[in-house]
Amino acid sequence: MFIIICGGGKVGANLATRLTEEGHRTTVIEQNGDRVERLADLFSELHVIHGDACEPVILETAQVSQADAIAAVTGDDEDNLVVCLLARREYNVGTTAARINDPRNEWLFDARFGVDHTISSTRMMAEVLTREVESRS
Amino acid sequence: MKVLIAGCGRVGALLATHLSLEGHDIAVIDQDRGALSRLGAGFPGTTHRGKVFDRSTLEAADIKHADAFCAVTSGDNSNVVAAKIAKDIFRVPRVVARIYEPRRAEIYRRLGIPAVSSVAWSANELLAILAHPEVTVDSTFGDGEVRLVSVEVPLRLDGRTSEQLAIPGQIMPVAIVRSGRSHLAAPGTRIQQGDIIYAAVTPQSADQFAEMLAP
Repeated sequence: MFIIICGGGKVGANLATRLTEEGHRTTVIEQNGDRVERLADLFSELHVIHGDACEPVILETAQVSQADAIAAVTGDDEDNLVVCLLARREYNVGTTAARINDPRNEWLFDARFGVDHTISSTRMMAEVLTREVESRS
Repeated sequence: MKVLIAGCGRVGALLATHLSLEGHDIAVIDQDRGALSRLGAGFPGTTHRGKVFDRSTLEAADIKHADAFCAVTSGDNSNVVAAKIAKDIFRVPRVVARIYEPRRAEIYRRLGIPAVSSVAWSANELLAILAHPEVTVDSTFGDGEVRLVSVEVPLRLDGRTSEQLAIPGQIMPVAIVRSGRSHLAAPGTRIQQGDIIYAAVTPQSADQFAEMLAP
């Protein structure tokens, strides 16, 4: 599979590592120059693009129209929404996944913005803790 | 009309002030208290601190009863997200987003989010002044692909017809102003020295139009 990851922080870098190890063709788009260098040192196979993933030119440089899936995992929810919206509506990407940083924005992450799947660490943590507390009481 | 303005930078604050002077009911949202203070103590509308796409903030600003919504924060992405929420979720009848980047503005317009590209607009205005000082740019449409320009008819062209100035797809004379009265440029309309002729032109043809009407 060809997968584009938007955002090369901790989440993006880990995801890129896992996908590359599993043999997928992976491209990471990251805005911060230091992070771009760190990512480029991870694997020689990993393709890293320095730029804003919400910019159509940058997505096209990453060959977004050929991507099987795109993961929007930046630290800004509005950026993740826009990446999914563009990927789905403008470039017809088959599968989209987005990271939710602030649980208050969760209501926006659905088909309206072209989001297929979401990852929210805050919500997952809350669910685990709630289960834990309930099982003890 | 009840108008929600998302973003209280220079544009948002100016828009809020103008609209409230016209008697409209204005609510302004910004996450920064300092930005909201731009409105001054006499601002008759309401102000709301929070993110422009935060549900509780939008509801506090009474988005459910808004007639119009305008997203003018400094972030293109925040503006797109806020405008899409206003349009698709709260069904606000009139929605517009300010988008800096012209290509994105074009894409969002295609996706049904009315977008004004301030960068394209400013560049066009500056270009018009720098590159085509002979013609007055009266209006630009869309991202500036079509402009309405005006120029005075020189003696040299006295007695010509307006369609002699037309170039299909590039220059279309639309109106002639003579002694303060305007006429639509119909086939056969003769132009006189001193008339002001208005034409819709493409940016590439502005120079040519200016040359055609040079004294």
